[in-house]
Amino acid sequence: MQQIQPCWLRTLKLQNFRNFSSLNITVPKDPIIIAGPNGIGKTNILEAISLFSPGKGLRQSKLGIIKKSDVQDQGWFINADFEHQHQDLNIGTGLDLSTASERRIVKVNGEKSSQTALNDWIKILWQTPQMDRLFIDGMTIRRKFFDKLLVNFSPEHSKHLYRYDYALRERSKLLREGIMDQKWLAVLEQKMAQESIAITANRLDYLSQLQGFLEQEIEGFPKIAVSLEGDVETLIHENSATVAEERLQERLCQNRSRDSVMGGSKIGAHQSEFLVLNLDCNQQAEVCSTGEQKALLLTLIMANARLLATVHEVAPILLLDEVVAHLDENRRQVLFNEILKLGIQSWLTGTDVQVFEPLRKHGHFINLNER
Amino acid sequence: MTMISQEIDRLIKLLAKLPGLGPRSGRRMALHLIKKKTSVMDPLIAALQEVRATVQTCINCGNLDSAGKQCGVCLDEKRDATTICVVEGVDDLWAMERSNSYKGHYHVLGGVLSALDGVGPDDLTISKLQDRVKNDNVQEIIIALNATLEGQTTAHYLLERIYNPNIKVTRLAHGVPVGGELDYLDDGTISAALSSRRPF
Repeated sequence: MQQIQPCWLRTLKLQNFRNFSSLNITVPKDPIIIAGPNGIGKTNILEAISLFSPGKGLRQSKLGIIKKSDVQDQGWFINADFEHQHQDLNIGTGLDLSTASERRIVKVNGEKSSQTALNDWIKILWQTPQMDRLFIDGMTIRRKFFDKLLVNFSPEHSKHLYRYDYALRERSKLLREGIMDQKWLAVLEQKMAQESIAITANRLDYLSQLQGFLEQEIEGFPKIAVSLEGDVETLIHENSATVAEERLQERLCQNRSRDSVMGGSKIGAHQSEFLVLNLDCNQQAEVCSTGEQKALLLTLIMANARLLATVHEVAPILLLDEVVAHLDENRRQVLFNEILKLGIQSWLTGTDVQVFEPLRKHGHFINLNER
Repeated sequence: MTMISQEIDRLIKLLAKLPGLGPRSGRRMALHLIKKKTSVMDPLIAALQEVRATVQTCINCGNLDSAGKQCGVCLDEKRDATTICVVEGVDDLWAMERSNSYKGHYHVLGGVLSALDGVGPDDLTISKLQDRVKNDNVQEIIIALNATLEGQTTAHYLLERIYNPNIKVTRLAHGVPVGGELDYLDDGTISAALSSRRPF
């Protein structure tokens, strides 16, 4: 692997965040292990770090809920110093209650910024126990998961998704209410077709880049093939982008009667399905065992970390919450080795500090009981 | 028991309903008005009454003016009546006028299409625009709607509704703002600027 530029968190300060009135920690670039009993705030620290990327963080919580419950009339704030490509970088974010609307404020090196701009600075990947059901839950959850990973590579992708969702909702409302204004519907369907093709092309391009990393041998972890299936994908495979767009618009127009009864749209980028195949046993991920699914998910996350490091030449920060829960000893050891080999800052949590013993020499252990 | 009298409370609630204001700013404004009755409140009351009595919506373009049934822009014979600039609201018309670079007529659409907000073509002044295009000697229509999702959807819809091979339809350019640096622009803006490039 080529030499990647370092990006790691040096100090983290929390104020009124979840169970912490205030917390101030300083860490090295090495893997960081946060061990302790349930409810002590391990995941809260990972959640705080995840909020240095755009969006609602790894728990997807509303901003107001994050605030420490016994604090009145104050917002929550987090601030971190990073080493970013050998330069100092300071990012602060939080909920400012002095404004009427509940919005997250973001400052980069003391200057007001936007959530979207965070993506230009820091890339953060995470795995949480909630994601263990990724292959069992519906295709919408899986699609959102892959789209979120994709946005790390192509921030424009989120704009395409937003514009597509807008046109889809507008068209659905018109059809639901029987407003059959042909011109209005045609304009919305044109937008849906344009954005569908752009979204699907992005997804296919991302998967083709990712696949090479998914097939790399990591001892003890399954190799994976990820594919994307749906009507839009078929249109793109069989036609040029312009023709695919026209065909899709025609199909949307033909489906109006059906969609007005069934709701939504039968065709479009929101109907694409990400299929994950375990190449070792040639089985779809949803029929694999719980432990196997955890390993598949980890393979995906690690492959994304390697792809990010390769494409952007900047190391992502990895947040792994209770990650070793379903892994056998051999896989745990392989995972730790892989983390050390990648050389990216990784944050791991767990209730049992003993399972992290192999990282004792190279890792930095934080015991929240002592704070 | 409330500490604020009914009259002041009513004033605060009315002020808080104004765009961009909330209960806190409503209270601040109410207190300021009460403290400065002569210098602020009385002139404000007079101005409100005058606007209430004189300002009307122009029957032609939808602008707001006290010039009569038609606004000053429509009545100005020096302006080019063959060009109509379609804007979303009167505030956008004022923004165009501030630029001092457009000397044609306007058409205020009164909003943008939004099925989710219950705004359809009949809620906008699209039919009125079609009438103007038919009856007046219009040669160019400039669509100057905001570059938002709703604005651009409405622009495309308008294009379908007002299509006439004898009339040129243009839209405002999208791209690099005056004084802007490329490094700070998002990919979409740069892409729009590239596709809208023109010869030096």
